[in-house]
Amino acid sequence: MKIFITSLTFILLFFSSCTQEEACRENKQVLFRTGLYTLGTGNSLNVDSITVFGLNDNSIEVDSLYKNVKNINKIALPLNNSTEESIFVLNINGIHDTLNIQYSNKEYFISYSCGMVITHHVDTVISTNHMIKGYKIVNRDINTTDVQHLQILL
Amino acid sequence: MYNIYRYYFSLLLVCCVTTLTGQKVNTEINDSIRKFELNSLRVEVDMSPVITTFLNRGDVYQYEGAIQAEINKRFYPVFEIGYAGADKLTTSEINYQGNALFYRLGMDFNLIKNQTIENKFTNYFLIGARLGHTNFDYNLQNITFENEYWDTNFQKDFRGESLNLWFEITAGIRVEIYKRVYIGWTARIKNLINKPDPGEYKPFYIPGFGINGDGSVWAFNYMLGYKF
Repeated sequence: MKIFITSLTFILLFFSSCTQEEACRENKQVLFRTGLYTLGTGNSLNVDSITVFGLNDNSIEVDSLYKNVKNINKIALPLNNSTEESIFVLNINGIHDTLNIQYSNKEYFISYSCGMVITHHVDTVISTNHMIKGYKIVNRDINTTDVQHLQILL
Repeated sequence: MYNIYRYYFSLLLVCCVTTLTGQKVNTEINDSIRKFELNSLRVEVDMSPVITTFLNRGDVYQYEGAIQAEINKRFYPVFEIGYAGADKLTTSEINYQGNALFYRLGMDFNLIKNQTIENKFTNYFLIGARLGHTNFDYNLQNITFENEYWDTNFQKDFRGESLNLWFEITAGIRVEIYKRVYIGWTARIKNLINKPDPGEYKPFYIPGFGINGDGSVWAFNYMLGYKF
């Protein structure tokens, strides 16, 4: 009986210190990460200023993601998870370009603490060529991992 | 993970070897081939839900029992069966519902050498392993997908099926408090054998296993039993 009481006390103390705390610790942001590069050399390029905003289904401007941000060489764009196309306007050094991204969506379960997110697989990228001279898709799968997906050549 | 398994297996083997070598070697030829001898059957019920269901506010529940045989006073095969489930609103506000029967099959070894006639009561310090199984349907409601920038927010429900196998290392004691009546506890560490791919739906709670996180799960049973 003594061994039972002693061991039970030990076990109860041990388990009482192991209560699980539910909290979301994983990254939930799914962003289309884009780097800015110099055409020809392929070197990373810091632009003087950049403004970026999205256009919704009615081609109406959504809030600015970047507003006249100085000396920047990469941007991160949230894609619309209820459609399969997102359009962004990039104003680089005062010159406008439009970036059209077409993709497919997939549900991704993170955890019961964090819930689920929509991830994307990029099919096509189309842009106007006022400031943008070219682009290169380096990773088509967009999820919570912090990797670059597109290189814009200026 | 494999290091943990290796550690517990090594511990289990050391305990088994210690138990076996601790017994007297009988040189008589008749004893060299021991006959199968069923010494007893112990039927047990887990009393811990009385506390745990209260602590979990009824969101998660588990009821189980076991039948354990004693063979040749050395081997203790065990069959455990139970019913468990969860009906819970998770932190991410997904409403989870799922319940099912579960089964475990395993073997224990007794590390206490007290099975003598002069002992009034017998006690057991059991260490062993289990293989668990359950197959069940579960529902997820109000899975929310939102995007602050595009101001989108939509919800979805999901119904899935889950087949689970898991492995347990167990340790516990049984104390005879009255003639043939036993109380005791079993502590378990459990690991899933089959896991879903990253990003796939999975149940919040696996009956018999516990909360379906990323790593090992600890559990504790408080058993009340009777030996036949």
